[in-house]
Amino acid sequence: MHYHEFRAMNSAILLVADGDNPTLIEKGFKAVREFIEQSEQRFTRFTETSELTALNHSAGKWFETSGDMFQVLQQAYQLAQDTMGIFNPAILPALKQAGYDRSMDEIKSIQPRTGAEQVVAMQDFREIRMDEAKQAILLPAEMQVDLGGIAKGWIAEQAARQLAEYARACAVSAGGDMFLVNLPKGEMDWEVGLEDPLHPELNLTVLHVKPGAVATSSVAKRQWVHNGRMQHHLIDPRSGEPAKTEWLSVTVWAESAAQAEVYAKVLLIGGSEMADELFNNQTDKAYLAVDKQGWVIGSQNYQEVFHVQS
Amino acid sequence: MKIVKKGMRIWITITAVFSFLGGWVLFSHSPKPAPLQASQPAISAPASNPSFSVPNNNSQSGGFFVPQQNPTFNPSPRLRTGGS
Repeated sequence: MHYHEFRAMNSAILLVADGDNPTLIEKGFKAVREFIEQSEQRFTRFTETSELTALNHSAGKWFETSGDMFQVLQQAYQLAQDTMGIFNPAILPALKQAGYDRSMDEIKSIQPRTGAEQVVAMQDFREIRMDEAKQAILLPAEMQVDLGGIAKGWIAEQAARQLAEYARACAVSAGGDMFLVNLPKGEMDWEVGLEDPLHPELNLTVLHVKPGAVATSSVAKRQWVHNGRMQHHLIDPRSGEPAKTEWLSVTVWAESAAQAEVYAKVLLIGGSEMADELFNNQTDKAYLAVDKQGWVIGSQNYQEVFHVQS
Repeated sequence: MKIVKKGMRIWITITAVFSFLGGWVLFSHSPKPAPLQASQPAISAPASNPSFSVPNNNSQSGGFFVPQQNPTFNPSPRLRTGGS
């Protein structure tokens, strides 16, 4: 197995490839790294020159996007519909209000801050309009979009699909959200450690998963203090504030990285009620949630998908 | 006969008391078991399947299990998920 690690998208990136030609795999790692770094420049909200920033500045007017941006926005729109608006990328003003107005690496390097408390009007991402022929998007006036997790998942999936051209089997993990292509030689599945949300250096268990996407959302990470209160990055669009969650983390397996990312986030916000509603008789995705007592709760089909190691 | 019985009782009592005291002294001076070091592998119960309980009737959740308590026994895979 061959590995390549670097940092991008404020996350540790791990490329894993199985193949008999190390030179070819190294070439694949180089190509994929370039793709990830270029994509980060496109989807980040933390630079003035990114395509996402330009889209946000264009709210109220049609904006012609790149093919990649249009694809991510289309998936985001569909998932916002599927999750009844609980997945809502238009929460950027609420994130900024909570103090997440710069990259997490920067937030962690500065002192806790205070800011004026304002009521943030929530907008519904399902109100955007799309013109497929022109690949153009119309954000309603004043709507501001953050594509954080879904873009990261999409990038990991595209990167893994590219890397698969250089390897027999491969995985791309972006901060623990990953896309797995094929199976390494002689293996029945991929082994993935499930982090303990309270002790991230330890694994709760080892999951044995089939190719596809695995993503985890956790309230134990990306935390900071703002206006004297502990904040986290998961905004509940119903309140406009960091979600008060029943679970500490939710891990989802799905066929696409965008789905895994979004459902992990939505179940963490919505808890068991939402899980019952969205995962009833599902076979194309499964979840594992860790509650505050350290118990792990799974969807009906979790054993088929995760093959939890005992 | 009475004297013999009395003598026996005294003998048994003295023997019992000295045996008890002798045992106490012996155990109190014996070395204590060494405390478990973090680096030593702990002897644990054989790995068993996670224990399941029946979920709430209204819930679609399929099971509940207690996570492994000794995660250091398994080498951690390079791929890990836990939120970023």
